Amino acid sequence: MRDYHRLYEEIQVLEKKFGAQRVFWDEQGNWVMVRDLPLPPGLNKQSTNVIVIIPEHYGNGAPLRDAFIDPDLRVRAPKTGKFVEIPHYFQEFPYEQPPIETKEDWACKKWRYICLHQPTDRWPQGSILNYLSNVYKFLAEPFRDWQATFSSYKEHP
Amino acid sequence: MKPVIMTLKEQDWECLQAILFQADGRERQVFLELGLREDQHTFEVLLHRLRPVADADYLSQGLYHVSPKPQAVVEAYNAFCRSGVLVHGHVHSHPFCDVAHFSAVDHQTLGQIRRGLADLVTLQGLNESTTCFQMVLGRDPAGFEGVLLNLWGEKMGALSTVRVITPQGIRLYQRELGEDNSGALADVRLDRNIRWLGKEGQKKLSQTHLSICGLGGAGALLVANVRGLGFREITLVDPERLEPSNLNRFVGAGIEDVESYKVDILKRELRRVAPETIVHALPCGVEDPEAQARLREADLIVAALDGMQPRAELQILAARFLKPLFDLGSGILVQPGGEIRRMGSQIIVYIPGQACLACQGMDLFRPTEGLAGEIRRRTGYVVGATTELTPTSVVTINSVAAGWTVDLIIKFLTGIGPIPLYTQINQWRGIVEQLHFVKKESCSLCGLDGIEGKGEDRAVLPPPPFPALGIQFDFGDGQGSPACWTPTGARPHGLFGNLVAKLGKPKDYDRSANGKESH
Repeated sequence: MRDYHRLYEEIQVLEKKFGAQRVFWDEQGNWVMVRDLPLPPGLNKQSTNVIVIIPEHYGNGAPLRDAFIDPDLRVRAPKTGKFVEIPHYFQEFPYEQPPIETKEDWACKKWRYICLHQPTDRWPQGSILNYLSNVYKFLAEPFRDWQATFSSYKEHP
Repeated sequence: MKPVIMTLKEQDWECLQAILFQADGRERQVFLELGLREDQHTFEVLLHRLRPVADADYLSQGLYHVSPKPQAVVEAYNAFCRSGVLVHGHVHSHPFCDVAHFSAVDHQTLGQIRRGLADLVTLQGLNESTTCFQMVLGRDPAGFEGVLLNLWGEKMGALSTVRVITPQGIRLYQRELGEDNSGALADVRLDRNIRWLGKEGQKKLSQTHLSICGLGGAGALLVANVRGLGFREITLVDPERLEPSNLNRFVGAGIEDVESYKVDILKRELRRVAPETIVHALPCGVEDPEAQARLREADLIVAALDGMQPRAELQILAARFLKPLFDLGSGILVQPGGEIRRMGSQIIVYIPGQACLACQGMDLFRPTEGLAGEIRRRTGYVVGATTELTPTSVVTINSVAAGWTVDLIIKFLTGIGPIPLYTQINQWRGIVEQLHFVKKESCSLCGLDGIEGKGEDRAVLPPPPFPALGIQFDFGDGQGSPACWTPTGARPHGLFGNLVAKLGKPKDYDRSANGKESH
């Protein structure tokens, strides 16, 4: 049971923030996508598309956990200056059962999974906008210790 | 017009009384954010949040009148818009009398508040099923009058009952006494119950709608325990059919029942003992809309389920609709060598206003069972079912868990004794422990900004903006047919197919350049 009232409001907030032409969603609320989310400096691209998977019980206790971004992102390594892999950014979906659809579905469409679990779904810390903001902050400093922000860093440091 | 029931937590009821009836004897007001539940026969308004009007925010206040400043009303409207609930409520006191009635002045003031709300709904584009609940309270807790109105001022229902959910049971205040069913208490079948619980206790059971979700080993024995207790109505929810391996603990079932739905078998057994009991047998999961509707009507929910997903579903429903929830789980932990490490059960109770299952250590929202699940798989830990790895004595654990749970339910409903919220029965060592968990203020379910009392969510997402984009749909299979898109949101070729449709063809990238996954 998702809280559709909240999701509706959050979509409106995202449309105000990014413009209606850049925000897409599934009618049943399974996902929300923002196109061309600006990326911080230090990456090999200036923007990425982001799809945030909305958990089944979002707004009723289940925090955001899963997102997919462009597959070809790299970060410049602080020491060598070369573009390297980003932590918590997977070529393969880590769960046995993805939240929706199959592993092949997203892989063949060339999205890539980023493992950033928010600890709460409370408003406003647990909102989609805040999640996107956290994705940006994470990509700005991917080698930092993110335990306080993402529970996935506690589970799989 | 349907009767209206107001349901609220004990602490909210006490808070409401304390605010409205103060030593100076003046009238006071409180705005309410209320959830709604509607069925064929009744409306139920559920208290989500109280918004008291501070003394400084009254335009005028006296022993026989009270009027808030417009700013206070506007703030209450704004808070209501943010809350996501369907009913805007308003209650004021008549501290000068025991039994209160709306006065002519009340009708005028409340009409203004309702019209203001109607304007707000139009301006903000809120759900048009938004309704308005108005109530006046006298000194006697049952001395109330209340109405539910739609935005056009049409009366939808009159308040008949206030239900207060307390840790010692459900307290009812009724404006007019309902039908006397004391005749049923003369039934000889209930004689032993009455000797134990008293007539009042039995009457409470006889007014209760109990629902049981999950009819595995523990759930079936639970039904066997409750069938003679005289419950008015019982809802059974389980999608499974009986298997031969269930027969060792499925009371009342025979070999001829194999392949029948478990709910149907147990309905038959319940009706054999008490044909007058209304039994709803729902062969579906708890997330099914029919099951959800029936569970929302129940007074109390028992969960005897496997897995966290349905448990989370029930906890959310229990919190949103202020239902007490009793969750039981049982199992045996067998080490790889076959040695039993743990054997027993736990019963976790959620009473609205108290710690929820998540606050009591249950990890409801993990998509996988994680380490605990892995340990369970490796060691043969089994919940509520038999496998090759589970000793046949699992029926003894289930019996204890079911009996103990029914005992707690009876104590709760009749108020004959306090109940612990967490009971752990270690049958291997013969130890019973009662644990006390503190409710977390930050909890998304039962915390300060939680979902308790939010009721129905009638919001619908707007249609996705695909058609307006005029983009050819490409489902990644080369078909590219817009006809594949259905306005209901069905995804014939999968989630990412739709996304490709919006973005155009996927960008090419060199898979080999991606390297291996990093962590």
